[in-house]
Amino acid sequence: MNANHDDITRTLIEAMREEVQHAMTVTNTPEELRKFRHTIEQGRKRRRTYAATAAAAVMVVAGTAIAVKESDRAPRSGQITVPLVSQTATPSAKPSDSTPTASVPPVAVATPSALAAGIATAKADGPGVLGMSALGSVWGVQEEQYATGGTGHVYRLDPTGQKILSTTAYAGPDQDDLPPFQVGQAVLVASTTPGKPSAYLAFNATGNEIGSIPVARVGLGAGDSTGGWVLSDTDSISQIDASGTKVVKVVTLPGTEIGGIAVGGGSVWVADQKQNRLLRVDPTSGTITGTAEIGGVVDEFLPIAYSHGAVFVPSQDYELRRVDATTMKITAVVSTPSGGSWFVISVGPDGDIWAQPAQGVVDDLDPVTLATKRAIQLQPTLRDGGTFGVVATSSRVYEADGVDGYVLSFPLS
Amino acid sequence: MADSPVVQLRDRETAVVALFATHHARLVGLARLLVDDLPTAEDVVQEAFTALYQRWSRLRDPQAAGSYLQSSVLNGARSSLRRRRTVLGLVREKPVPLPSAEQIAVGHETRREVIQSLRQLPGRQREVLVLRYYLDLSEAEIAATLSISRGSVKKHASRALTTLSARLEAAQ
Repeated sequence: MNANHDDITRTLIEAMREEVQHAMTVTNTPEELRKFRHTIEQGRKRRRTYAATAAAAVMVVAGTAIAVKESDRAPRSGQITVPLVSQTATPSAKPSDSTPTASVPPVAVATPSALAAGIATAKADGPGVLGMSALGSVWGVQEEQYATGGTGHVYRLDPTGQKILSTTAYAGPDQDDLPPFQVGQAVLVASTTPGKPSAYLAFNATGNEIGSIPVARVGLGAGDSTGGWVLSDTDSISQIDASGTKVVKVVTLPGTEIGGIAVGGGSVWVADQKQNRLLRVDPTSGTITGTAEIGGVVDEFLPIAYSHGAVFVPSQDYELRRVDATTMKITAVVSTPSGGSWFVISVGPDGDIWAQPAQGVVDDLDPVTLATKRAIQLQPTLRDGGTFGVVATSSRVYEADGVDGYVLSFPLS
Repeated sequence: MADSPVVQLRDRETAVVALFATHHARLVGLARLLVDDLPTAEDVVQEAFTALYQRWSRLRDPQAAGSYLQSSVLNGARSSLRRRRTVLGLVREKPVPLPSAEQIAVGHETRREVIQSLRQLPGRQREVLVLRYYLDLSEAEIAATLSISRGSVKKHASRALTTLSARLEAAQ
């Protein structure tokens, strides 16, 4: 640490003390304790409601079959759970409390006139992040701290967007909201358990865990039906075979701190958050064949994407950049209009970029100009969070709500 | 004889409420350094205590509840900030209240600038600095807490301090 760092460190410590002292003085611990007691009391009431209705194994509400298993209602750790609720939003849909009850299934907050036509909702077990469409399903994960039973889950969504097909508990879900991704015939999910090696867990088309790939550090990855690449350490990536369970080779890129990874155009694309660069890597030799300065802060958790001969790189500066894959020049930049972010991006089957520029809105962006071709409002009000994942398929676009665990989708027509 | 569920529940509630009274303010302070406003910090701490309450029976060592809460606040703050920034753009455009005339004293403005700059750092860098200089954790402890290598801790800390220095110099 140099002298300059010593100075800033002293100032930083003083500033932190001042800031914390202020916060500790202002916060009202007795009032916060009252809120906490209220929360746990509400939890007790909910459990009592579940117990009283456990005998109702199947209910039919408004013509929609809703499977309700006792195991869904009474949280248990480490157990596999199955579909909780699915329902298609209708013009009669009204805002409802997020607390699920046995008789009134939760419906996404919706003003029909503000929603895209044909919108469907499915309710996952808790907030999480949506990954991609692969192996016949749309895949997402739920964070441990929010999911029922206190364990993380990987779930599969029916392509119609109306039903969770399977929900599988897994060990050590990562806390950084890392999305699942396809590699070969598997979907990989990052897993970090204190005291154990980090790993990517591989799930097959039916949602069963089929393997594990230990790595020094988990992060983002990308691939297709033939295989793919994952972050394996701060400065290295690993190629995974078509089974999705075996490492083919490891490529180290000294001096980098790797964030997003994409595959396309015969190259592997790596976002280097240390120097805010995009690197083009030859997948055979493992050498860097091109570099682009991004000009914004690259985030280690922000996925990047390849489409139409370009790589799309979001940044912490709330901008999305298009980098030409051949010239490595930035050819288009788009900023979020109202303080949103490009935290989630997805490539549609036609190569369009789907992204979230603002709360509850999904944009269809031209992959050449980044101009907005259309903006779809999925949900006019999110209580506290934002979109946590956008997935575009040939028939629908899906959006995960980062708070309640709803997945909303609308048809492309 | 094994405790009845009612007794266990009472024990759990008593224990967690006691932890609340002891640690709440300190944890709000921690969260305040990681998120953008006090209400969010309080929410993060609430969620940490709720999670602890829900998992109490699975806590191997109740003596480690403090550490558990600390990690939970760290993770909750991270998730909260990521969600909020998708919606509100807090990192970019967080309005900062103007200091009163009384507050504009020697040193105060500088410290305010530092806190502002701290909040603009990438998440991992900010966490490393808060863990190092607020919680006074060692590099090894930070590495274990964040599941990163000690080398990464050093790099994040160094880059963060360099960024803070540069921003402070630019502001002056």
